[in-house]
Amino acid sequence: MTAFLIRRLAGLLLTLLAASLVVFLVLQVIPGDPASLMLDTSARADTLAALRHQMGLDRPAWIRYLTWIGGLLTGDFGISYTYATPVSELIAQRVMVSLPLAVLSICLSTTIAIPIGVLAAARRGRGTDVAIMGAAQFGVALPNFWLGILLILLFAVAYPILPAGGFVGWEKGFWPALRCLILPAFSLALPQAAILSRVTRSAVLETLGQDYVRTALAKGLTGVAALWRHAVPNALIPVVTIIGLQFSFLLAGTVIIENVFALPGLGRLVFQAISQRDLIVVQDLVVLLAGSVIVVNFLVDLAYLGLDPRITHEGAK
Amino acid sequence: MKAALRNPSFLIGIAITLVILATATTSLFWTPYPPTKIDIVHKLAEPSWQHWLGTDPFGRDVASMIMAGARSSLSVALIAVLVGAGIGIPLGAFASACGGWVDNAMMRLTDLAFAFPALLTAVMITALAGPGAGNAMLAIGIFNIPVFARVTRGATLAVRELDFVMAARATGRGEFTIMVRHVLPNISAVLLVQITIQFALAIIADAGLAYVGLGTQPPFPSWGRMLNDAQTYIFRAPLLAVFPGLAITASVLGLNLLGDGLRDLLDPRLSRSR
Repeated sequence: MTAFLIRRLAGLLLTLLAASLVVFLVLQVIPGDPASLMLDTSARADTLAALRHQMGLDRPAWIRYLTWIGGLLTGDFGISYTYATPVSELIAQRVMVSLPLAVLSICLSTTIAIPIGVLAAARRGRGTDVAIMGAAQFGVALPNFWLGILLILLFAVAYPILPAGGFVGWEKGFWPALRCLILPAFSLALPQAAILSRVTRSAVLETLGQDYVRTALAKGLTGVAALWRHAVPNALIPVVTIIGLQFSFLLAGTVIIENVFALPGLGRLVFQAISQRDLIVVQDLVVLLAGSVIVVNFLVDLAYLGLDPRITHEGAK
Repeated sequence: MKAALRNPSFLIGIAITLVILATATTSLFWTPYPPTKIDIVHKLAEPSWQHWLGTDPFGRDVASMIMAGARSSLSVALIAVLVGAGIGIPLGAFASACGGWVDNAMMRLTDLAFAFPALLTAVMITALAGPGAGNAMLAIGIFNIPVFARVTRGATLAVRELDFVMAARATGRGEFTIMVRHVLPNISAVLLVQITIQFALAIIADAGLAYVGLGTQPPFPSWGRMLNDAQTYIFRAPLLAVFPGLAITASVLGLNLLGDGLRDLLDPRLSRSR
């Protein structure tokens, strides 16, 4: 067990390192001269030379890579070129928008998807099932940014009960800030919930056919009790896998959703940094986002151990 | 064939897909108005007999723009999927034929690729290489490569153990011939289903890129761009934000239903609806 964990941790670190190398290569090595990429073609020669020096481009690439990684590990993310502030400060501000948004979306999509997925499985082939799965098929096809615009249309234009965009900041209090995140969270959550409910339904259908459910029924358990106590817990593994995978979609989704709702989060920061060619910010953020996807997938793998006692990984490669 | 006529997913899916395809094709030689023609006098008109879906803030005909948008959306998605399948399928087949460390290394590489949120990286690529339909195709296509490589590898591994492949190997055929003549034709159903799914995802990705201004460039209309423009006028002309989104959703829904239907029809073992 310990050996397994150590192996997995080593794999995790290796993947993180490879990811950072890819980002560095794409942004710093392949473009040739990152300084001229950041500045306009009309930039003066001495401006360019100053920026080259500031970015340390006079040193070999591998030293720059090691300096960057060393900085990341010690919390020094470098200085943003356009904002002239430490990137770590920018990230710290923006995370306070994106992280609550991501957590809220995951919670919403899970609390919506699991009950209706289980309900569809329990009512398999009947009207409820057909209606739920029809709605889910539609939800999967819904682009989240269009859903966002429709929600604005409905809850900010037609019935103005929620803000159409922007963020007041947590210092204005919990509720005013949360109000700004409700529509964006639903835009991200509903299409994800549609996918998740389909996965939940087929996972529960699979476990409903198992012997232990029949045994539970034979023991005299009611159908509802057998469903929730035996079929649903055993169906959780594929569901958790998909929730983990959706985290990655969610991060990418924030780039566009934060633009729809003008939220000052990480997604909008990376987008602005890209259009302003603020390379160090882009580099840090992409590594941060890819790193969190890698870590979440790792945690999902670990969660299996808790969910399924049969997986012990003894002798597993 | 009879099974196809009794499969509602397949029927609705193919009907929607054909309508979208026909719309895109028609727009090549006919739209009610030229989709880029500005007519300020008739700006923000309500839907009517003259302008079926109304006009936008520049007086351009929304129906014509949606028709032309179908063309750009479908062509971006088509090229993106071709890039992904064209590189991913050979890579996946190669990995499974080699086995051993080659296979292992390739699978770790796809793992790594999946760690980068696809749309985020597409935004990065189009922003660095310059916005435009061509770079959008490439950026979305790159993310289809690992998907196709994975699916192909998984499916070929199963088929390569079957008796008829053993038989071909016994007759002295080379690995390449076996892969092309015997294995790939047997996984074409799986690949076809994957192609429809990726096509649908590519349409959403293209619309997303166009929405943030990185896809097809104006004046040529695109659904994502239309949504972005509509958001500015959301209080004055809410309907403008509805039609392009409906077009995206309908295309994606049609392709997804087609994919589900094909899965049921071509490979009963893969069927979702137990």
